[in-house]
Amino acid sequence: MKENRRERIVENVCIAVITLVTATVLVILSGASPLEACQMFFRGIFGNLNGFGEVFVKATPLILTGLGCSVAFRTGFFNIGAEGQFYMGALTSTWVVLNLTGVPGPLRIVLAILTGFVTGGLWALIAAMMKARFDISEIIVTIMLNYIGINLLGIAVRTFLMDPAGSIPQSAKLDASATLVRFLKPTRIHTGIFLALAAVVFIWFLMEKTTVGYEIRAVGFNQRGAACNGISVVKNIILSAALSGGLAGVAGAVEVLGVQRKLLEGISGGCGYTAILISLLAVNRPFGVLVTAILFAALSVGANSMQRQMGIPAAIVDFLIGMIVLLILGRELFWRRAARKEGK
Amino acid sequence: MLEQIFTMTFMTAFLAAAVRMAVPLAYAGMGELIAEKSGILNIGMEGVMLAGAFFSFAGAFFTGSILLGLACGIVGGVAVSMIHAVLSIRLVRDQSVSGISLNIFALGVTSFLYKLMSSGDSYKQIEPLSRLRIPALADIPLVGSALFEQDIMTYVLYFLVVGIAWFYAKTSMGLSFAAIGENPRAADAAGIPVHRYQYVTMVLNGVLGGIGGAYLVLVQVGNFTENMTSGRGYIALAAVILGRYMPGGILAASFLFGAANALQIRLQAVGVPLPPQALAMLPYVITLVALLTSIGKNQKPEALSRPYVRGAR
Amino acid sequence: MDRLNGYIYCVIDRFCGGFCLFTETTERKDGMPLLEMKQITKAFSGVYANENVDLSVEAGEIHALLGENGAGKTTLMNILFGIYQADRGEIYYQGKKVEFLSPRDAIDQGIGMVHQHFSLVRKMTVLDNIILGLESRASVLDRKSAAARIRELADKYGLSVNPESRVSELSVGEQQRVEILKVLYRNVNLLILDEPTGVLTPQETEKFFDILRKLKAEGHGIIIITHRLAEIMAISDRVTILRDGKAVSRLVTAGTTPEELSAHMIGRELKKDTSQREGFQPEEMLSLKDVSLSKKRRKKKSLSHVSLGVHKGEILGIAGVEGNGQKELAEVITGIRKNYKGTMTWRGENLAGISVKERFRKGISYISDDRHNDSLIMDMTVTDNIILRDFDCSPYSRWGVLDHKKAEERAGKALENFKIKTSGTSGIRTLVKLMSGGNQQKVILAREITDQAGLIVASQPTRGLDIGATEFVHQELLKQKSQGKSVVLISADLDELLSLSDRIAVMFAGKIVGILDRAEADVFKIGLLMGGVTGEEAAVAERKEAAEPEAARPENARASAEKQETVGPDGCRNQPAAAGGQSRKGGDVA
Repeated sequence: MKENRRERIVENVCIAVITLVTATVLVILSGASPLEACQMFFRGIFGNLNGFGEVFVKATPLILTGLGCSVAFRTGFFNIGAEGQFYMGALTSTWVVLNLTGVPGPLRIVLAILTGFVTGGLWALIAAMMKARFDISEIIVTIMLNYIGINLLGIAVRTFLMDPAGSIPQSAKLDASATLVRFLKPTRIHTGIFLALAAVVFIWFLMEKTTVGYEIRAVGFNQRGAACNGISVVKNIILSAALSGGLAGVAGAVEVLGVQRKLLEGISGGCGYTAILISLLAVNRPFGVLVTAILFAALSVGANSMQRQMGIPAAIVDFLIGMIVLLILGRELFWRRAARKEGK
Repeated sequence: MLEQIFTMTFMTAFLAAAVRMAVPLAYAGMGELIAEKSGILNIGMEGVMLAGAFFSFAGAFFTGSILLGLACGIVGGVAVSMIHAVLSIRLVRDQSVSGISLNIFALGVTSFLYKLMSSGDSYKQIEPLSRLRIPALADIPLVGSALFEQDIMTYVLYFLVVGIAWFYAKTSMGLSFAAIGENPRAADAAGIPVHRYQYVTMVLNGVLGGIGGAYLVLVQVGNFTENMTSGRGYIALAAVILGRYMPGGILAASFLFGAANALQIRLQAVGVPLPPQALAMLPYVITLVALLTSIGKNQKPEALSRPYVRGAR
Repeated sequence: MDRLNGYIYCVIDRFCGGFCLFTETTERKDGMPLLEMKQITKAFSGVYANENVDLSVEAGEIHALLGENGAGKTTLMNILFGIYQADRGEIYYQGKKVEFLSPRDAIDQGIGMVHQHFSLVRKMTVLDNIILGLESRASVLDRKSAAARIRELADKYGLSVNPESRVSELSVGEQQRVEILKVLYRNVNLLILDEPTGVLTPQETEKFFDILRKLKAEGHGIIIITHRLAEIMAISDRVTILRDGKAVSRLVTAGTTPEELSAHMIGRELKKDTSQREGFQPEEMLSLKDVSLSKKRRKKKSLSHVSLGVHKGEILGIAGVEGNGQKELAEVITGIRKNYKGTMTWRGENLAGISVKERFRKGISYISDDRHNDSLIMDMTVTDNIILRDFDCSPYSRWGVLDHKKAEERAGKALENFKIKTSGTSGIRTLVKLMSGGNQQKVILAREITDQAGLIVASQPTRGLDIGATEFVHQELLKQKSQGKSVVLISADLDELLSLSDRIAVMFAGKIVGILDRAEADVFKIGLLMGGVTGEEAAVAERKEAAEPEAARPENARASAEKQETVGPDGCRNQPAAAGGQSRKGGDVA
């Protein structure tokens, strides 16, 4: 046991060192000084209120989609479709807000978010059913649904949700009464962050303290063992998929209602894919997702600052994060023995 | 407007575009077929193609030679595939996790490097590969121009498809490769070096996927944009399934998806009043429908994505 | 020298367009066996799978290798075939010393093996399966001449099969023929067959034996690993019996009997437990009538017309070599397998359509032989595993919310009552995968043996456990019996069965071939049944035994074996009957 922990620490140190070295190299390649870049990076996050607030603004959708992925991954259902579920949630919630004008603001918000949840869940269910009934890989299906979702939104903002007063592909502005309050001017932080935090607690409670979570975890750990003891594997996979999609749908709704206040293209910022990495790094644990999401958001803000001030491409963060994930996957290579598992 | 669509000119142009759209899918599909037939599922094909696209662009841009660009694209593709190979074969990692992570990583790397390359200047362009017209054959009405008035990579593809089909059907080595994906234990017992052959298939996977990505840049567009593959790698995965794991079938499936793509562009050019997104969705919707029609008839190799460890026999 | 002749023949033959067809060009040097394994020793993690085993096989001989599970038969053959290398000992093949580092080496030398589980690529044709891996370069396949050669071989040995058919379309008997053809195609002169008749119907078995006889006539040596005594008697020339990793006897089949074989295989006197034990009550709690279970793609049923009754306060033992339907029986009773024919009733209620969960609530508990996959969730804590069966009932949950306190209470009690030791200091929060096998088993017992349990299906419950844990499990089962519960005890450990069971049913090939009362059961009778010698024959054997009491005792059987053994280069090794020895726990080490 101690051996294992020692090995882990060495591996993590190696990964950290490799990452730092690569980051430095990349920064130099971008024609900037690493020390300055570092400064800009941290100044972007902590230097002013705006930047700091932006971290939480960016973190909100990441937390929600990350939670979604974590729930699905725990049963082995590879939900790669958080993007599409996000957009579907955004789409339908916008429709609700724009069309149910008779409903008072706060209630409209609730309805909108609920609609986002349901739509996202249904979008994920398509893939889950295809997997359960026909054994079709959910990876391909969810990715296809991503592109379909993105394009459905594109159609929506050009047709039935298009702002009649304008000529660009976006919806009309949402009524101020039906949007999430921004409470820390001049930042863009909105009440959606509380929803995200509540979701973290809720998912934690669900997974650790309820029978539903117990079943999901059991199925994720050992399908056969669960089945032999009377737990329905199919039911739980489908349930986790739907919940996962619902959370992503909520992320979409919240982003529209809180940040954009209208529907337009590209509002996900790729969070549906980032969520996958977040969940993997957080080992699918709700509080881990929370921390990792905030971390990713901070990285993103810092990188933007570096890009603005020094011309270092913000994609450096994606590069490094992707590399970290691969290093973690391949960490056994640090040791020179063949890491072959013994078959049973 | 319908009369405009059903004219020879439209159809000919449409078919030609369809073939052009299909080629990268077909290359990637062939690469994926080779890997899957020996048991490795490479969901990272999207990353392979993207790497192929970017590095071929960088190579062609800096050296001025399309051939060198292609070579760079191939190297990029192989690099991605080999990461997947090591993770999947040597470290026995979950192939889906490894694949998805690779895609995201490749996206980050290519976006970053491209931004570096193009910092300041916004638009970089290279001279794309020109078309090679095959006389006589290209004069066949309707399909002649589509099939025989293309670039050389397309012609290579035709031979490749035939070659791969012949390899699996008629050679001893092809039989061995295919056996690995079906029953690696049986292949091992027959003396076939399972892991070594799997690495070989992954190299080929990288080469062909890299060419697929390079085609987008070197032939179709002439430049690189972030995430320019837009899910083509995943569509290639679907093409393999739809094509029932046969080279000819994959070519046909790629053509179907390419046609959907081309239809969108052509219809727009004609002025059909549908928002472009409706048509842009088409390839993806067709993919889903195609997957649904493939159930039951799924010919996937039995040991696909199940790593082989010579355990207690 | 004959090797060279063989090669020249091959070259000429290939020149003339055909492949080398092995005929009787191997002249058997008189007195030199085809195969000799000397003093083969192999240990895994300090446990001996084979210990100083000698084996000798002649060309043109069918040699049976007999032994219980874990006796070392498969390990020995795996060493011969190059899958493992022996720690000590030598192998001589055709007079030459050889060492095989991989199956390829063995095949190249002329040794072929047909495994218990076929190595066939289902999607491919028979032809492709046979020629798979034969040529390593990218040469073009010459399917036509290969097909011709296969047909030749098939006709010669009576292995009728169509080279063009896909393996997935073939019956199991036909698939086996393909496996044999695979081996013959590569010019082997020694064939190893591992439990070849396990998947065959009696008719297919007969056909199979005809094939073996033809092979034998052509001068091939054949080693057949089996536990089926009747078949050994029918087809083999000599038998080598392994027990606990050692070769205990070598007999000439013609001069022995199934009883003798069985006695050697099990090799101990019964420890007659003469302690007074109460019987069981007359009320039948679990009743199976004519239950059958078919596997897809197999003609042979996993369970074939099984009829059983388990009474109140009874421990019904199920004996049999693993793989004869015991697991399926357990899974059918507990509800894991659902598509069975026939009727099953529990406490008078028909169990058709009743789910696993409901069966548990009605009192059917399960202790699976595959602890790690079936009974436990290894990555969860002791507490979570304790409530695995009823986490969704009160008091462990209400309105869907788990009551951890109650669950932990129960887990704590379980630790106490069952003396479960968790490694480290986390107690009930320990992950089950960190615990020892014995303690893991106790967790399962604590969960499954509740007050509500009425029937406990226990499969290999003491496998891999130390003596203390084993004793504990035994006491627990006896306690349940005394409380009027019913137990179905499936075990490969005959001593365990004999000491605990009220009755013992023996399974063979998916059928119940005999049910013995405690009083009349002994190792010897059970051994016969396990080997497939059915009830009537067992009775006949008993009468014979009564008539010749001297000959049938294991020690005396050994004496007569000595007389009838052929003179081999090193004489046979016989172990004295191990006094009071336990049979080896654990499944087949290989």
